[in-house]
Amino acid sequence: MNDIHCVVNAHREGRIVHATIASVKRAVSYAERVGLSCSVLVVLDRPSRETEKVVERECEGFADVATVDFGDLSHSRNYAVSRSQAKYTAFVDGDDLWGENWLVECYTTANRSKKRIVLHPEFNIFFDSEFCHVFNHVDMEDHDFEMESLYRMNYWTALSFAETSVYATHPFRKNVILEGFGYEDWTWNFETIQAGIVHKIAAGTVHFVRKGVAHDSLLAQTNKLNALPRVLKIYRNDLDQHDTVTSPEKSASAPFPRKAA
Amino acid sequence: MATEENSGTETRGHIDGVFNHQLTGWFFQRGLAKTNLTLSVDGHACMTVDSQLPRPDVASRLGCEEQTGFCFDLSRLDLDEDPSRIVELTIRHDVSGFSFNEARLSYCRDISIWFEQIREIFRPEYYICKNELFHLSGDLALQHFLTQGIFELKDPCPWFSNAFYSQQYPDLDARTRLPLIDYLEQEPTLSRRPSSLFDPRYYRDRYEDLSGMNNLLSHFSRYGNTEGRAGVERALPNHIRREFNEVIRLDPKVATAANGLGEIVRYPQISPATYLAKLIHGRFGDRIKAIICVPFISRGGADLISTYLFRAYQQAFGKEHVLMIVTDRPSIDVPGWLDDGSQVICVDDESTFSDNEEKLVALHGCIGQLSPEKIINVNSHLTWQLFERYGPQLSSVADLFAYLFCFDYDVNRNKVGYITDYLPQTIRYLKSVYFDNKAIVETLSVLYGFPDEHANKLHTVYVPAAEGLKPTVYENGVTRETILWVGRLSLQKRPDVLVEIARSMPGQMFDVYGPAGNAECSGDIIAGNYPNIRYQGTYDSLEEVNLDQYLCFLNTSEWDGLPTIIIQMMALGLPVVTSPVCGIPELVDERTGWLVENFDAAPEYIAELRKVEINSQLSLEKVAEALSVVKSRHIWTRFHTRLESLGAFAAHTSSTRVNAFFEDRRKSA
Repeated sequence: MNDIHCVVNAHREGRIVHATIASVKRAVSYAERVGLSCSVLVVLDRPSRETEKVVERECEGFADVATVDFGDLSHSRNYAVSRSQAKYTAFVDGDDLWGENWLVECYTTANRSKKRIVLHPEFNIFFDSEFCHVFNHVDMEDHDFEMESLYRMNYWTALSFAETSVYATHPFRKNVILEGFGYEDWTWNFETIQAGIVHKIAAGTVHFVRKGVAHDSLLAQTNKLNALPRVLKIYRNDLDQHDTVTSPEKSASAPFPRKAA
Repeated sequence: MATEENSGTETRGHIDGVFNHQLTGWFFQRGLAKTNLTLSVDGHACMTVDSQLPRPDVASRLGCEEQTGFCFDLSRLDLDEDPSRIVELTIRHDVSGFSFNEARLSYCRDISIWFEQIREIFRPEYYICKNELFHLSGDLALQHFLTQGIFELKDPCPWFSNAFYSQQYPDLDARTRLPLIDYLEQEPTLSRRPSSLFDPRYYRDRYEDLSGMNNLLSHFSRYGNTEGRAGVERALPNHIRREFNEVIRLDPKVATAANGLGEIVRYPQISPATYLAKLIHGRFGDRIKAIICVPFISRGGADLISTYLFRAYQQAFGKEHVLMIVTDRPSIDVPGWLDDGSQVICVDDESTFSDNEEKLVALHGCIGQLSPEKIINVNSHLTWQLFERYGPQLSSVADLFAYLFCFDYDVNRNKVGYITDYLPQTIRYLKSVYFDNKAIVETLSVLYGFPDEHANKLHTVYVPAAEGLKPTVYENGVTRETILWVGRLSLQKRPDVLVEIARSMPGQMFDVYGPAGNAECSGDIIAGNYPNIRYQGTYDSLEEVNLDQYLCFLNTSEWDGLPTIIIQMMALGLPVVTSPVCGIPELVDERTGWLVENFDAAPEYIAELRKVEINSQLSLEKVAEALSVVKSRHIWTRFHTRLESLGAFAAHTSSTRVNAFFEDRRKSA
């Protein structure tokens, strides 16, 4: 059993996924130098040809690659979790980058914690945008954490680190943007908090989040349609009826993943 | 605060609390004239008073004498050596040994000295939510904090932390000295921080306009945080900057962030509105089934109808399950229109909002947490915006309704208002749209060419006359001369036509009731500048108006639905002379009243007014017919039954129309 299962979710990033994989290699390399064992899985969901080619080239001998046909990030993440054999799982999106110490600091923090926790980076540097800035994540145990604000804004980015069992027990809900509901990560943050899991930061860590305009991106579509997370009570009453969760087991019926050559 | 009862000697007492250095309460012992009470400070007797002040509230409740009150003036206590010290107060009746259930009160004289600053620092929404004191208003929350919470080391706002302060400054003994008072005393030295979220030195140095200011935390709590000012310095650590430079080697695009490394954003960005949903949900829990949204409760027909809908839902679901939310301004001009026990909140009374967007999001949060089955909008602009933005989501989990009346018109006579602004875009999300007249329903279907599934949502629901109205009695030989005009003095109601009529009928007196409006002549009417128009102000109930003096009721509206005032006047037996706009001819015709052909033709009104007086027998016949129509059509049971038949109270089911809309979206996507 590995210590950390690293998941890269990609679809149509093209050549920029190269930098993401390079940052993962760097973080894995550092983790292995300090004695941790890591596996890496790149999940390509309906990828562009260019993305597929870059991933094939960059991951040879380094990562497993699974091509799937979900068309949905939640399914892709859940699927990746189902393939995790490690104690911990960590996500990165195909256009973002991890800092070098991300895996090591998360592992150390999580291993010391007596609580069930999800870890987020202390800082996010947003780049490739007109409005570049730094987003400083709040820790739920900080004095200024305010649960009421979570109904209005998402506190944390989707690039989290937690025990694999946390992700398995609380799979991401499918986005149904056209029905007005999206932000699977925001909803997931809410649901895990409701389940008593504490969202914390790994002190001294940073992610680099690309904000370049992508008109057909999930986020762009989500914003355009005024999509909402399912956090307010009125939108959670009939969740069972609208069962939007895709369990990892269901994902297994998706197109069979292949390992990179 | 504390009571003790001794049934053997019938001794009773109660301590109200400390307010502005006055410790008050009441005490009596039947059969005992002398009721000396002794106040002890930290166990040492300091002061004695008699409980002989008038307390009629106690007398009426317990049937005792009125002179049972007491008051200790704490400003007389000798605390000058250390006025910020917390002392423990106890009261004892030495004769009986009565000690108010061993009550021990904390008191700190300096709270009064620092009262203004504490009030500025105090955030009632925060305090109420954190301590789950949902029954308290903002003022009572402050009172609770000053008399109780501050001694229990409860935090007054997000930016003062008793725990942080006690940990950072262990020299302070919180048992004898309040951390907040200590901070306020020390604040000018800039040597102490109230929490990890505020640094007074940084705050003063960062903002030039604050130099020389001493009340820094109160400024930040009151203004600074909502102005976007930073309470503490946030900077990127050097090791993160080094990592930034390293990662540029992996992706040169990362370098685009170089100029933004000083722009550090951190959530949450707290404002009073942050807590609104929790505050409202805390008060009403999960019991709300229907929410009626109104802009305000003024004296207009739409306002009255909103209260009818409110009452209909109260009857269907029970008062405890229905809530009225007043969204646009905190105004309920006619509380008598709401039944006792009605649940009503004005969002502007509960919170403050930086702009309309924040208010809209807060309303969505409130409704989202209350999770009703029905949301009914009666002219609430904010709720129309809510339907427009979140209609797809809300209509998938609740039934959305609206009640509309007619088009409005701008000065160029272009159609404006809720119908044009919102109905075409939101009709797909609405379960039903009700109107007070038929004419508008027919007009809309033609004008907008709604498909059948949308056109079928438009329904006429005639509104009832108020119950219990007694028709005016026409006594033989009693002459009625004055003409009554009622309405807002607005362009819509055309009081200028009234003025023209009055000028042409100099021997005729007109009485006007109604609030000021945007008509040019509004001010002159109210000022009494027309010799034969008497402005009578406004009324809460028609019962306040002596209708026996009036010849008839005159309505000059240029546009309207089917005005409730006409329905009421008919129910009260007054002849009605009116313009023929929109839904009015559905009620007023040649059998029931007097219709002019052109709404702005003063001579036509004058002729009809003269007919009323000259043909008195015909007038009485029309009045009787009008009364008959109103009694058969505009009654409460018809209103309620009509709503019921249209599914207003039926359980929400997942809607096919919404699914059809999503199908449209999928195709277009």
